[in-house]
Amino acid sequence: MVSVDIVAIIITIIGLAAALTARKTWLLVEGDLAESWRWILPSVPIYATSFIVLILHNFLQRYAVSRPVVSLVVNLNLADKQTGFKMQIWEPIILVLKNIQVLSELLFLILVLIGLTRQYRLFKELSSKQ
Amino acid sequence: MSFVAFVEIINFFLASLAAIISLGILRKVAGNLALSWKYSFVAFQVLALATLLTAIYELGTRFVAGIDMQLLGNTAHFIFVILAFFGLLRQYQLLKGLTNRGG
Repeated sequence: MVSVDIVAIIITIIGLAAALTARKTWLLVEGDLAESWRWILPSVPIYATSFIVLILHNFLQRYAVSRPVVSLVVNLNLADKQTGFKMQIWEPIILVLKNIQVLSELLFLILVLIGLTRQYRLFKELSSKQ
Repeated sequence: MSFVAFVEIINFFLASLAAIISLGILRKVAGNLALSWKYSFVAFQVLALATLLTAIYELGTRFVAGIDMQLLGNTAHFIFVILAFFGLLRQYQLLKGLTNRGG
């Protein structure tokens, strides 16, 4: 295990603790403020999950096999013409995991932005009333 | 450009937007609530930096001044999550104090 993995594990643990705090906050508030927290609430565990995926990705990358998982070779002979086709798949799960990680980060940011925009509108309304 | 780099660049813009909205909220509130929003304003700036570092890593730059870009990116994420956690904790404490007083 290298420093990158240790940092990722710590981020996941703190992220889950932050998710718990966000849930507790959501239970305290009501009305429009609760509505905005409802968007922020699921975003925090999503962020923590994205780091679990990253840890899994790094782990698989380190212990990945150094040869292709699937190797497909096709040779075609048509009249006098000869052609060949070769396709290799290298650990597709690693690529998919990295994509899932960045996409969950994107989802986290979208949810946070919706929550923040709602809170901004709410605070703007309150300050204009004052 | 890889898919990961493309999504991370989008994430960079979204995180920057989140930081701008946090600044907007910070200007509307005062006192202890403003302090908790200060945390999230800085946190989203750090998150934007982290996504930018990951995008640069995916574009091919593996080391900067001998430091692994992946480690730099994860350290930025670490700072973000610490700041976000304390921001959330402060808001929770503040709201709990208010509800206790209200009850």
